[in-house]
Amino acid sequence: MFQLSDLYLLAPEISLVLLALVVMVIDLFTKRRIVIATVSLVGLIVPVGFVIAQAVTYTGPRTALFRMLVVDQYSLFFRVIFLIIAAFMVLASYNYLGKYIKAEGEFYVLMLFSVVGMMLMASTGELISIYIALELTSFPLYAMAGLLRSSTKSSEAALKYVLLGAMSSAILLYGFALLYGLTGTTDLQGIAQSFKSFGNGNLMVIVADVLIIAGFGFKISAVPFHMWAPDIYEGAPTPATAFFSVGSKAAGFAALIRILVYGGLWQADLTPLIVVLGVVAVLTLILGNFAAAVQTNIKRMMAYSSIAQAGYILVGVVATLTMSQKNHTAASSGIAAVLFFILVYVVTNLGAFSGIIALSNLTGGEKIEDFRGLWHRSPLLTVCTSLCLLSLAGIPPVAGFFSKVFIFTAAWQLGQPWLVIIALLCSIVSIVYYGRIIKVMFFDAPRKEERLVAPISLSTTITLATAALLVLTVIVTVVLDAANPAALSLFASLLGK
Amino acid sequence: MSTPANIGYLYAGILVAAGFVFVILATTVSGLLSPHNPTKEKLQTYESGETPIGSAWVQYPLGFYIYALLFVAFDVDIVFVISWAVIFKQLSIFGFCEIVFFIVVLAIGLLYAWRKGVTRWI
Repeated sequence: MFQLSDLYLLAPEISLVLLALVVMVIDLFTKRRIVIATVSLVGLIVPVGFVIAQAVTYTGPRTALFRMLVVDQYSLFFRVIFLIIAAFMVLASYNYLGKYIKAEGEFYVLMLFSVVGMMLMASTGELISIYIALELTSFPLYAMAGLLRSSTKSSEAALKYVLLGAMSSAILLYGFALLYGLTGTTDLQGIAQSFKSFGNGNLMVIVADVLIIAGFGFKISAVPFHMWAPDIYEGAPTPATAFFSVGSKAAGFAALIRILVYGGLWQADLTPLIVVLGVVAVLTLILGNFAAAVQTNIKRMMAYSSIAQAGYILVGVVATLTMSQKNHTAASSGIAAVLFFILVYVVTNLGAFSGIIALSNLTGGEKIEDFRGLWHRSPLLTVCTSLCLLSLAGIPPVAGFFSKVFIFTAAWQLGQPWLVIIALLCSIVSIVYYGRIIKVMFFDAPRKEERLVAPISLSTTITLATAALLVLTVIVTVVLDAANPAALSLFASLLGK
Repeated sequence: MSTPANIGYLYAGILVAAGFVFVILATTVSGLLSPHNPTKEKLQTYESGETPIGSAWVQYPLGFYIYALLFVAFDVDIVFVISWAVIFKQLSIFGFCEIVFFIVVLAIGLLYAWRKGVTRWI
């Protein structure tokens, strides 16, 4: 039953839980923020080390704890992404916490626990564990949304998040229950095996698919399940918003793709699945991009922008499913593009948000007009933020361009030209609103003349994020070389490996 | 022509419809037949108990909620410890380590609550 090698496969998560507990205890006995942040950051080396060790010694997909844990290239890829998020978050929130939030230690502890949940969401191969991982991810997020205790908006955000999160979990669980009823197992590989024999026209398969997509639709804020995002992004403390926009979304996609592809749901009744996901993708693209264009508050704009980004990712997912039955290798190119897109999105959005945290901290406002003329007041921050925004818009020199190109070409080749055309048109709209902020920062007259000096932790974060973005641009092929086998590993269990 | 696999949905649909019909029928018939003479006592929340004073929508002291949370921590503790104790022999040393870790984590939670001054009634 239980082996020591199981512990090794679970070691990144275990060490992260221990780190969170240590940080929690330290927070009880010292009030010095620098100690807590340093321990969190240095402690992250341990899980990172375990993930690297597992990646280096990787020989093939392995399962542990009665197939609850699946360690394949896919889960390793996402574990790396989530650890990157954790490290960035510790740095990016450091200054904000001192200024606005009393419960500093709690922020780090909640964030670390949530990252554990996210890592598990990407690496469990069993429905109940996926659900528990999802709740482990979500509960800390609810609390983080309400950490600005004196702000009514923040409390409202937390309450809305709890209620809608509970509802989406219920919908998702209903979908899981139907899957279990159909197949008699909660193990994704077992589900994949029994889906081999499912013919077309099974009503329950369609209902289960729709419920699961709806449940994860909340987590990835896809239209029509996006309503929570703008309010909660606006009300929550900005570092928490950054965390929601990358962590929750990446984890939601990780688990959704894991269920759809690794769980073999594509083997039966593909058409309704593609239609539902396709409609969701188109609505998400259109509403996200057009609503972002009319926002005046920068956090609301970023909320709609992150909805729009989810739309691009969904295009890749739909394209993958289109080809899944015919050609696994071709279909996995869609997943590879999605993985690359998520990685670039995470880095870029964290960079953009650290820029926003820094600039709104310094100017004291969250309206776009508060950012006027920042080029004259804080050149480094402005240039870095602009690069991140350009990458989000998909303008050529930066990595965001490549990630969009990959996802669009993959979708086109896999037979979804219309989705690609809609996504391209929406991209053009996105240039307008990202460009507007850049224009305001560079060309409008500044409100005051005095220079703004960003605190060292924030300028480090944004410089690191921008540097990472530029490095990603250069090593595109290296990342793709990692993403391709990760995508293929999802199909591996079905191909008799 | 429905397949035998799908015939179950038909039965389930008939059952749902019959349920709706029954509820609607029962309420309308009893509404038509029963006499109406409401008195003040009849309309009270607890007809034969305490007389309610004021509204239930008042603020309770926050301390109650925090105590409730602490209670939940121990409640869950007991649920796991009992189920562990039942199969203690099969699980042997591995189970022992697991439960110790579990209790240590809960103890850290208690430590947290204690350091934050939750145990002091305001």
